[in-house]
Amino acid sequence: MKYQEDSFYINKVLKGNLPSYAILIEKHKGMAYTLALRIVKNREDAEEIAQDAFLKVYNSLSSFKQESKFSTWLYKIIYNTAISRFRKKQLDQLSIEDMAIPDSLQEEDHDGLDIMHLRERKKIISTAISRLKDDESTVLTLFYLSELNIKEIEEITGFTDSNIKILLYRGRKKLLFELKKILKEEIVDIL
Amino acid sequence: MSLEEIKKDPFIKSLFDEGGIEQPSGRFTHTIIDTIKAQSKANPYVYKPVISRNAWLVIAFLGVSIFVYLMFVNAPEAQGLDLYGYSLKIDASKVQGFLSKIAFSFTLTPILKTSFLALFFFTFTNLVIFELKSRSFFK
Repeated sequence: MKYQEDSFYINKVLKGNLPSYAILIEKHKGMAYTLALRIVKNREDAEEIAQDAFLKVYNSLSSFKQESKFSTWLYKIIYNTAISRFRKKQLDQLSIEDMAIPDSLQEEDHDGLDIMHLRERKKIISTAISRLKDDESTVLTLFYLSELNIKEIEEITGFTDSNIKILLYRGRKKLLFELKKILKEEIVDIL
Repeated sequence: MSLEEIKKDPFIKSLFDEGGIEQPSGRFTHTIIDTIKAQSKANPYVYKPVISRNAWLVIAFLGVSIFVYLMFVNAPEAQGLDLYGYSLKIDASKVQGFLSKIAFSFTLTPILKTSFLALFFFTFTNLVIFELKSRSFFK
């Protein structure tokens, strides 16, 4: 389905047109759910958080000034909802596991993925992402999947510019490390 | 690695593209819309007056101010009004002058003056009591 600009649906919803809100949900539900899932790492919880966020957005839509993007506002609500419910760890705690991540990874790890079937690859990638810390997977998802810039990520998460860059760097390294680990486990299983 | 390099990293980008956007259950949108509908049923439309309570208070205050200015200024031509033992000086000419400006003119009789005064006090005190009650000053 080809969607219109968000403001088109928002204006309709503000005039009392509920079906337009259903379209707005359909347009953003995938990314909203994915972001919640990256934080809480549980499908049921992620669905509940995303639904709660869409309800909050509906109830305060009249206060949305449309100065920033609707998606940025939505992701911020999802992020805050998820964090307020589930976050227990402090930010910026460099664990021993982080220290163990090698600086560079071999090209052969990329090749390992290349020979796998699409469904298997997707499963492995999802597993690797789910093994990242919630702040790392959130920032990586917003940066690579939603293609938001640092300023927008700052607005959503409240992290500083340098914090985001550290999380991107660390998350990227850890993702490659986890992929390598999973691939090795898969090979051992096959053998 | 700089931010630009991170951004351009095709392998990481491809991982996220391939990992893809996860999809919630098929009932996701329906559940939200049903909840919104249930919310609107539970919270039916609340009447909101076009002129708010505060606006009415301001209007009443302005009305009383104009009334006091017109009626209780000690002008040389003021007439005496005996009201419950209080002698009030009423400048009828000012009232007449004001009314003649807006559309018509008439002469205030003592009965009219008393009714006018009573109506203002009644309206104003009721508005003040209603406002104070709503703000829980007294139950």
